[in-house]
Amino acid sequence: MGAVRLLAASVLFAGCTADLDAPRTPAELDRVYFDCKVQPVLAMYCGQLACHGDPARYFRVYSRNRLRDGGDETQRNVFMRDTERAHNYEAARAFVDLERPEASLLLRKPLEQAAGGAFHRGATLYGGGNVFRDTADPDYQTIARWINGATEDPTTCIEPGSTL
Amino acid sequence: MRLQLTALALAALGARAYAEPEGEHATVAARTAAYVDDDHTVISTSTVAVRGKPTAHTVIAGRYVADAVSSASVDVISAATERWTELRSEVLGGVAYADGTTTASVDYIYSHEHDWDSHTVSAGASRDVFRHNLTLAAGASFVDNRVGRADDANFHERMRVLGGTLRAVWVGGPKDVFTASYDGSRARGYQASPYRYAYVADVMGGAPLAFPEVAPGERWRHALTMRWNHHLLRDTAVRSHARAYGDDWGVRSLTAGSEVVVGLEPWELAVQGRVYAQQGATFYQDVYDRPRMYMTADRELSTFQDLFVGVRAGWIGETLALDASVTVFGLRFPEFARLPRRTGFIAMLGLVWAL
Repeated sequence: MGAVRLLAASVLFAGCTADLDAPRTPAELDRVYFDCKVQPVLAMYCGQLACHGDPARYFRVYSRNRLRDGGDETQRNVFMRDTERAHNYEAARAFVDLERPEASLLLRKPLEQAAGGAFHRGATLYGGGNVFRDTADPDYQTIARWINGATEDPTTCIEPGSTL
Repeated sequence: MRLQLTALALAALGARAYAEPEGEHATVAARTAAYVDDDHTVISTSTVAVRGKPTAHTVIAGRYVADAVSSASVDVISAATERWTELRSEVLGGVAYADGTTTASVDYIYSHEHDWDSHTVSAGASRDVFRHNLTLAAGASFVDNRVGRADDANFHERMRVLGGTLRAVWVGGPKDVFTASYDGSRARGYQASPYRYAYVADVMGGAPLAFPEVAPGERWRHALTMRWNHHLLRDTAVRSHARAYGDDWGVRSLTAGSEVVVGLEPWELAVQGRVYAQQGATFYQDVYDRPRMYMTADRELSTFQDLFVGVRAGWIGETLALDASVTVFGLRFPEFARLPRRTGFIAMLGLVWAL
């Protein structure tokens, strides 16, 4: 009987936990800055079909002439669709750590380990090293500014390759 | 990369569940096992254990375990990486005192793999009371894990586990031995995997988004185990166990198993079976509807069931013993669409030499 009580106590205790299903508030980062400044960086360095333009990857990047969301080969170079821009924005936000912005995988994955980056298979895939040699790289700085809250004026932003 | 379930399946290598000759001065045991499943994972494990008796009441033990893991499991493929192979080495050193009524022991284990280092210190004691009809035991352990990531010089995390055990063994009569034990532990630190990501359904109807896996930094675990060894006929016994487990991540599980052991001197034959049913962690989802504070795609934290069935044969001589076993198993993951079933087998060979 004592054993049953002990088990019941442990099960009850196990039930008294913090809310493990609490929703996560996604990083509120400027969409215009992303479309205007960050998306072109991701398209240029990450979106190759053998890299993050591969739909099997956890982190996918849609970009012109590379991975597209639907359509056939004749449409591979059409302007970026809103759904593709939105997906890239959401996928990038998912790799942002707001509590420790500098630890965000969006920053650490493309950064050389000698400069504090994380393991990135793409750094060795083609023998060319990682995307950013150090944190002084202007494109690294572009992503870092976005993660740290930079905003862009929608009236002056022209997204490269967009219809604007 | 730790494979919890396979590690569990192979843990039996380190345990003495078999009839063995006991050397007057020392006993040497060597075992090897192979684990193969249809998730493209193969593990070979070898262990050598030595027990020596420097004095009448003292035992010194040492053990070395080497695992070689090769996997191209669904987790590996999802990460779009290639089949990986790794080695794990473990050494154990321990000293124990036993005078027939009282025991005490201290053990240290060091385990190393290229992305994981672990130090374990454990101590335990027991005492027989009521004319040796009741044994009361208690133990405690502390594990310090240093978690890394393959090829990543900048990934350093820690996870520490403090655990305790209480056990009572009661000789219920000439044919029955009952054991009740409670195990509890508290783990603090990094408990996710740097290799896994959790999926969130794309609200725009496209492919799911991936988020780095995040697990709570603390976990309390409780388990209550009952064992019953019943002598059935001459040299035949039934060994049964049942275990209830719960933790503050919402995982609940029940385990039941039984083994019929038949002694046909010098042979020992056994048939064993085990069923396991688990309710998954509250924060596990195959694909999340929206981002959550904690997210995991670890199928071993999902609701699942498994069944292990095996046969074992042993030959026990005065100074030498041999044993071999084969176990087949099946696991069902109803909440993990990428691998709803897994089947495989474990084969093991053992040799014990008493000096």
